[in-house]
Amino acid sequence: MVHRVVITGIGIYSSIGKDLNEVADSLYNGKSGIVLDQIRKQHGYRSGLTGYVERPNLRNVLDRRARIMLPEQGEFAYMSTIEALKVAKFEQDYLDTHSVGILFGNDSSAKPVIESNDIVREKGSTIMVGSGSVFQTMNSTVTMNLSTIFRLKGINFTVSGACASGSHAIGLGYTFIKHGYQDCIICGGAQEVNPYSMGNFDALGAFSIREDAPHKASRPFDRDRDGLVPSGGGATVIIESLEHALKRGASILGEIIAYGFSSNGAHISNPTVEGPAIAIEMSLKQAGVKNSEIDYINAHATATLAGDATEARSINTIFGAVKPLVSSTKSMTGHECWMSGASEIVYSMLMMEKGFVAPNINFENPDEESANLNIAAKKIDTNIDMFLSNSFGFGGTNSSLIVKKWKNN
Amino acid sequence: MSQEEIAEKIVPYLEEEFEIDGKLITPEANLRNTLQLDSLDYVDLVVVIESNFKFKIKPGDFQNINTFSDFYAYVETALIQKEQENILNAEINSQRNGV
Amino acid sequence: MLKLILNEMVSERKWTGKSKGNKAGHQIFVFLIKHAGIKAAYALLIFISFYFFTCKWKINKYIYQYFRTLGFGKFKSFLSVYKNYFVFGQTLIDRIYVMACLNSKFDFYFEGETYLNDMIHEQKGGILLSAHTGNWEIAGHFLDRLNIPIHILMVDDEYQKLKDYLENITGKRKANIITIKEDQSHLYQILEAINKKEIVCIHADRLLNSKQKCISLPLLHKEANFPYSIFKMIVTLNVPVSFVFAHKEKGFKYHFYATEARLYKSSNDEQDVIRLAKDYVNELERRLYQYPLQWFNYYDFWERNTA
Repeated sequence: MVHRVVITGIGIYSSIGKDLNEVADSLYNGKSGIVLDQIRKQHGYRSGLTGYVERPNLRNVLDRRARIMLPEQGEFAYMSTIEALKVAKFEQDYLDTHSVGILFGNDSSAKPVIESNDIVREKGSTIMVGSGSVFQTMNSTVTMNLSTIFRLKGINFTVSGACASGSHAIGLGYTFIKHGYQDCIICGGAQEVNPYSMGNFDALGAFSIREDAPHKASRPFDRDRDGLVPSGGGATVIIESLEHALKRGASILGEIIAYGFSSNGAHISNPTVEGPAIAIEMSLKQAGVKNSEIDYINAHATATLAGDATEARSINTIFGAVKPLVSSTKSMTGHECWMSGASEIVYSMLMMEKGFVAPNINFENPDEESANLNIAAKKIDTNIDMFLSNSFGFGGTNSSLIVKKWKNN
Repeated sequence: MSQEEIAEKIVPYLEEEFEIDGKLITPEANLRNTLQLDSLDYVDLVVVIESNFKFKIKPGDFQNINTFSDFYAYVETALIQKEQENILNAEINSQRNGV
Repeated sequence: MLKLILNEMVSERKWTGKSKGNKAGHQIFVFLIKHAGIKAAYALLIFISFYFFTCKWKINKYIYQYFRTLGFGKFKSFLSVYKNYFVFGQTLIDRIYVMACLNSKFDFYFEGETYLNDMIHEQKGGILLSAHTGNWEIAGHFLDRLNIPIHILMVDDEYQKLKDYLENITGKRKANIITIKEDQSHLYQILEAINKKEIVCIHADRLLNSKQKCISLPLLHKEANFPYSIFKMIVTLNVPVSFVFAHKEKGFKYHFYATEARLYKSSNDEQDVIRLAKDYVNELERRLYQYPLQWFNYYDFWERNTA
């Protein structure tokens, strides 16, 4: 038996807002969350640009033990999750007595690893790193901590798929629920934002160096783009089976109708046209929808020269005839990496709820490939019934999710 | 260092690390209960001691430490021991270098 | 004389290292030994021991507990308390007798003297560890045979007390006494002695003060505290150690034991300290099983029960 999978809760803590309202506002107004971080320059970064995400103060919110085990991306994920739980109307009592799972996308925890090893080197002893350190250093730190804090009893692990992590986490959750293995899963993505986590990436020369105008640096699809801007935060998407949601009396925000995926099987970092196209095709087929039914595509488009071009071509081969609206929210947020697949679902959900397509800011001149797309350079007030969200990552990992608006009959 | 001096030095750090009111830290108070220590917290207590007094206490040594007073006595003893070791090592090293 | 014996024992629960001298008492006994013979002195001891046995309940209790820990039944332990006082008194008398060079009556058997000679031959200095059991002071008298300067580490008060009554009898002791000081200056003296390849003797069965770091090990199957500092110091100094004991045997005999000198040095200091301490305690325990009456720690030795 196959179950329908619906979204009942969303939460966000990002560079463009600390909650849904703030973020919706930023999306509507094309507000950028990019800054120039001088510390990175001192550190030796080629580009000091980054999304700015303020660390929340969780004193008096969480007890000491919970706090010392959380790295910053865990804190971000905590903030987005308590918001999502509130939206989904989950009380702790319910979580204590039912099997609710957690699947988050995360693919690093560099800062705690580096800081703890520095201490070991300096003090010549491992015990000096303290009792919280090991829990912060693991890739599964977010799910490890949140499942402890919220006393979750269902599926519990972290999904690592580079920049598609968040999307794959939701897709995997969707698959579990669709085939009846779980009734409800808290999905999401989290990304640390600090100089320790992005140095190796900067080494590839992949970041924009438009440091004189940080807000204008992230330019997906624009002819004059010169690279991505790293960013981060936490995003949560709570999904459940339709029966479960109806039984709980939860408000249904949308329905996930497809999870398409593929692997390029080619270069580790250079994108291909075929790989993403396969993932998109798979999602359309799975959903049983025509390309004309997609109203909006939230592109992966990170503002790298090659990446945006190949994605544009992939989109065009499938949607060329129907030209749905396309925008990349990374123009405002920067590339949220492990979080992005999940956060972009949240951004698209907000657009769907409020009836607008967020602008792809800094899109001033198209290039050869993006010229073929219907890119929303400015915000557009319009109805979205169905959207497609793409996420692609190093290693050629691709993920495409299709979400349909929920109409109460 | 006397036990009073030890207390004076370490109580502020205990207050900060374990987030409790310093007034609760009295010599007769139970260490475990006052600081609400679970098994993992002993690691952090070791860090506080090492940072302040520069000697390593093993989590196993806490077995016989019940009150803060026991704790100060333990630190006092360890500091005396450390002083002796430092003297010996310094003398041995200087003689080795002199030879 | 009563005060003398009491001085040697401890009237408090803890080893305080303090006592008062009593010259008059010493002199009575010296007189007795010189003019009536050692057996007369022993005879007097019978009554003195009885006095202690019937009146000094607190000390009785500790010694009784010792015998019970050793595995003696209740009645046997009870009787052994009296015997213990008697033997203790005997060792004091024997001490006076031998120190005054009146030692024609005694036979001495040296088991392990070759080990000590080997140790000295190695020219690395050495530490001799003993305990408040048997009659170590008599053995000390015979270490002179080794032809090497001997140093003895003592708590200052213990030294003061011994000084009083020994000087009265034999003149100054031949060994050099290093007294333990708060400012740790004794460490320098020990170091100097070792550097000169000389021998330092230490009783490792008593803690020097309440603030000393302890290592807990089972003695007679019951956890007791031993002075960690001593063992750590030996390991740090990287000097050979031998365990030495001297016990009274029937018929005016003394049996002197010395174990093979060992170096406790590997890549792990802490493990070396534990190994050294364990070897010491094992050797001490062997002697106690062999000579159960010759335990002279008159306080609650196993007080700090760490189990």
